[in-house]
Amino acid sequence: MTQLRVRYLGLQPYEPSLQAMQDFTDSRDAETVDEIWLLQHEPVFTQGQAGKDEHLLQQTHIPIIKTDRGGQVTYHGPGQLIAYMLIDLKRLGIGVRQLVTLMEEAIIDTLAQWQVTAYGKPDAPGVYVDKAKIASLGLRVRKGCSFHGLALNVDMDLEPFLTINPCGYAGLDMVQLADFADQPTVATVSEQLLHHLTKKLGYTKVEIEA
Amino acid sequence: MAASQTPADEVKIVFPCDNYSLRIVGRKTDDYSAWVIACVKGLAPDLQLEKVQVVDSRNGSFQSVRLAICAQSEEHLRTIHKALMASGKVQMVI
Repeated sequence: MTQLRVRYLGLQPYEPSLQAMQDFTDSRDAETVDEIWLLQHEPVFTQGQAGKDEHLLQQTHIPIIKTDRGGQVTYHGPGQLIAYMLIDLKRLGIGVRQLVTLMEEAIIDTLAQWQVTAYGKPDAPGVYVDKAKIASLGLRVRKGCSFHGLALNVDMDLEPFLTINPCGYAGLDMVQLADFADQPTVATVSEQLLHHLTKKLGYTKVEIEA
Repeated sequence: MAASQTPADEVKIVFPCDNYSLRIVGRKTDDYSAWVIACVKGLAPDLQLEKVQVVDSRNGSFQSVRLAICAQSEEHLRTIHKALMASGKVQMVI
């Protein structure tokens, strides 16, 4: 039996969430149940470990936080669904590349439920619609366990993306589900994404914590 | 989509739930961990103090208090969550 615990965390500041993820991963052992945390963040720019300042194009009032995931700078804010993937990859028998692919497929299947055709790119992790990015992925693996995860733009203010090179790509357009679908909500999309993630990752028992 | 459409078996936590772990994150201050422990102890007297762990964040700005209680009900957990968050000291309870 592969078990998963799901936590719906609502709107959260970034730094305590990062601390909670790191602490969870540092303290987990072979018996620790995998978790997916579904949440939204208060407005924040996060920069990956190798993040270059040149991708921050202008100063704003939004805080910039250095974090320990891969990748360059991105923006998080209300209306964007975050799924943190706290997965024991060894126990699940998958590698990090496979996890990335499964996460991309889960997002693509979720968007298909809204009649949106999306795709992944082999050379640039994330999910795209008509060459514009709709979801970003960033993971870190420690002791064979992943943390960080994905950010899917549902119905949010995209303006802050204009002040950065999203994920380090100059001129990369960012889009959101609300550009293509009628009034999507983070709550609805959370349920849909969770359905696809649990199916693709093969969990047989899911414990929900509201 | 209804939660029941998830392919795996969905289960709710069975109460009372022994050894229910909480991770309580807030900005690090001199009295943060002591306050958290006292707050939880007041609402969950079975809290085993010897099992409490306090961990600083990488940059030292935040602190996690890890502890385990016997959760009596969802209402019991909600009460603890509410008391912790109402203080303004706690930023996240996992």
